[in-house]
Amino acid sequence: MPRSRSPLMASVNALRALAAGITMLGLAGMTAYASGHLHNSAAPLQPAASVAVATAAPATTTSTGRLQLSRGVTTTAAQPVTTTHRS
Amino acid sequence: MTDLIWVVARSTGTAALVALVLSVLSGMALRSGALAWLSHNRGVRAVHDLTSLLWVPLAIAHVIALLFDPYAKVGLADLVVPFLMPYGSLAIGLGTISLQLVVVVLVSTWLRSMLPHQGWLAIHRLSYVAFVAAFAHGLLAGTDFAQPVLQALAWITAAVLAIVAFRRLTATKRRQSPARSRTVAIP
Repeated sequence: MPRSRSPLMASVNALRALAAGITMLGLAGMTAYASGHLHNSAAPLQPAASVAVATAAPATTTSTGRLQLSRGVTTTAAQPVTTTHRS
Repeated sequence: MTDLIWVVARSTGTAALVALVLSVLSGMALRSGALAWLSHNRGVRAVHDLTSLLWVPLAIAHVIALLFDPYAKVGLADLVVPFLMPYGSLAIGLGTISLQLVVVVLVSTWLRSMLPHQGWLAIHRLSYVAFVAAFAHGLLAGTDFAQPVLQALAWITAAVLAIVAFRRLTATKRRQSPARSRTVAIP
């Protein structure tokens, strides 16, 4: 009967350290990466801003078969978004 | 401060996914022997237990960071009811489902002695669904996965998990088939 090969890492603690190390490497690596890539000018607008724009534009309405035009641009309290998160 | 919260949310989310990958991988390897070249079952079991525990603080930090992030606008209700958010509903909803399923799996593991084995096993297998939901959440909501290097890492990891899952399935079938043939042979 052939003898089974001994595993690469016999120590349980070394294996635990390896698993924790890989997880922490993921945490540290992503922290470093995310810190350097905070904003993306090509990202879509902040959800609140796009909702505010969408709801404040009833450009045309119809009443008694006649076309009525109303103002498409209204004032809003929403802050302008100049930079967005990476999205 | 907002930037810090955003960085914490992204990094802890990724690290939680890494911990979940290691936990699922070592869990499947326990039965299939896929990591026998690396360590004996006691070591693989230790990795499974540790990474399941590591997932907890990372997931909590990820959720807390998102709750405090004024951009993400995740509320407490979104942690309970998935697909509630008007923005990125599917992507964030999958994260909610994954979080809830992993919590259920972890709680069932802590209460294992009080549960019937088959019941515990059925709940424990939900971790596969949780992982798929977490992976999809990472791909759809995790904006960093657009980067080619990260995307390649994610798909390589998924491929490795798929191979181990296949080995786990075939190992189970191999174990079952001699028993079945013996049963048939008995007159």
